[in-house]
Amino acid sequence: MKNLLTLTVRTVVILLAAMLVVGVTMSVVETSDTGGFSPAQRSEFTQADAVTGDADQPTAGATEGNEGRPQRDEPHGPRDQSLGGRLAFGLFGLVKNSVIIGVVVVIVLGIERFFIRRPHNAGI
Amino acid sequence: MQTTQRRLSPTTVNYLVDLAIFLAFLAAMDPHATGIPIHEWLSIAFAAAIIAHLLLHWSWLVGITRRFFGRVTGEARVNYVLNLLFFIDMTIIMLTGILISEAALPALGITPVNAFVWRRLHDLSANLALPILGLHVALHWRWILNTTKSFFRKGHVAQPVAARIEPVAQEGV
Repeated sequence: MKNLLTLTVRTVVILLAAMLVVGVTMSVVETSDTGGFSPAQRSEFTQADAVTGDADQPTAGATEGNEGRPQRDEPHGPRDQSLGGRLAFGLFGLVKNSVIIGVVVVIVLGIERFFIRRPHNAGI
Repeated sequence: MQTTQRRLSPTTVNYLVDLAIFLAFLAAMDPHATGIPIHEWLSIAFAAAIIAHLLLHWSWLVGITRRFFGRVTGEARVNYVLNLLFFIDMTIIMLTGILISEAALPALGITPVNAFVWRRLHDLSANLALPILGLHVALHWRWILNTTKSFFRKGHVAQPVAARIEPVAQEGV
């Protein structure tokens, strides 16, 4: 029972921290009134929304599947919507993300080893 | 007949939870592969996974928070700041994801705002999450490597309940 209470309190603390971030983010965005984006960036998104015909509304038919409409994160038009095409593109995305993470890991480990070994080499 | 109750060690639990979170993150980061509905529902479930991850590393989190300006190693301090950034970034990803939801929220009868600024922020924060996760993995690389090695060693996966004296999360979040 005590453990459950402890877990609940900790979860509430985490949620409160998240709510703080949410509050700050929303107030920053609302007060800046999209001022952080250049007109070019704004028009890019407006055009992307114009393609889907829903600048301020959720994409029509979103719950009925993805056929016949560009995805929200592909403003440059529809891709191959076949299952094979989607899977291939999805696999490419997974590999790409994994490679990005891997590259960061390799760079950081390389830097770490360089700085750890450097004093030993410098002493020779 | 005598039965021995066996339980996963805290390290193994951490390892499995972290592995699941990592794989879920990769899947959630690629809506082309999963489709928007799975992307959204998976991301909502991901919030619970992050809370579980933080709860598993609570002692480290509280310890470093208390001693951040005191006697803490530089590595732990960098780790803490990075984790804080990661938490903020993940919260922004989820907030903006909910606000531009196309499947999950409409399915619950809620109409999201879906303004372009939230979309842009969602993309930016998601793109930022990748290198931050890379740094997060890099800072824990030794732990990941050692735990992976010992995970596949016979008999290390499960421990008898009586042997569970290992403190949780000494390796950081």
